[in-house]
Amino acid sequence: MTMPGAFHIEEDDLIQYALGTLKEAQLGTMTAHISMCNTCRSELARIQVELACFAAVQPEEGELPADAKDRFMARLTSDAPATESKLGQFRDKSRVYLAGKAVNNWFASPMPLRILSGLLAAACVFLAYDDLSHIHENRQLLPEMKRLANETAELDELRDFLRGNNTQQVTLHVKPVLQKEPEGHAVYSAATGKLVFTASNMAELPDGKAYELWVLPAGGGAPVPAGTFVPDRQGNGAVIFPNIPTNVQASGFGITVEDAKGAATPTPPILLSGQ
Amino acid sequence: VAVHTLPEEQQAPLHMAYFEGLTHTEISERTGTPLGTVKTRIRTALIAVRRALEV
Repeated sequence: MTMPGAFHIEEDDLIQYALGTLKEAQLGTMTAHISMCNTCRSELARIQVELACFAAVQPEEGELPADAKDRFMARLTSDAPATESKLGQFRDKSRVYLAGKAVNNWFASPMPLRILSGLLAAACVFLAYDDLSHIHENRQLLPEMKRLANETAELDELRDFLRGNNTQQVTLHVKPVLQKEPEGHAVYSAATGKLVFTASNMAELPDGKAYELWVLPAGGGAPVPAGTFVPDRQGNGAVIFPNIPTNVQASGFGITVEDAKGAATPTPPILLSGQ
Repeated sequence: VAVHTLPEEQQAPLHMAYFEGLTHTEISERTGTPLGTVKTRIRTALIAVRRALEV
């Protein structure tokens, strides 16, 4: 046995391997190689087929019709190109023969067996038709299933997003109008009778009207008028050093709306007050 | 070359190997044919079969 070149087994050795005439020592080595080598394995298969064919054309005399061997050999040696594969022709004829044989056998079988086989065949046809119907229905449902699958995926994505920790959640409302409240601030000295009053965010007044500041005496009595003012467009106004008697202790201050020239007594309501 | 067109002595080695299980060396000894000739005749017979199958 030699394995020249690409380490393949020589044809003579493969032939002997196929014939089973190799010695024991060679057999093991070659078997190992053939199991690993596709080339040698396919070559061996080809040789085995050829040997089988050789054996097929070597029938013992008398077992076949006298001209059988000649006809078979004629087929093998025919030089005319086949218009159709001989093997294919044989296969087709075999199929027709087997089908005819099956039909004949069926008719030759006992009646109960024919009925039973007929029922089984009908059941098979029904099941096949049923399966095909289901397959057809399933195919028709495929687009809907795909659409539902897509919707499910989108809903899953939405759920994951809403439950996610890496999101920022903000609630929006109608933006509130910041309305500044009117406010006044008084600095007063009872001993000197001096007063400085500033006001902001005061509402605009009708013509002829003014805000009037009042000092509420601590010991009771009527409020003492402490000057009037008209706020500017920004709502700011001031009263500086009005004419107030000295030593009037104040318990608080108030603002009312009066005529522009001022009033002797305050007119309700008191808009601003403080103590 | 087809199998049946081969002379009997050309087919005989393969016949002996296949049906009688003789090794190439045993065929050579039995027929008095050189070992190389035995191998050649067996290969030739198989080639004839191969060509017949290729038709």
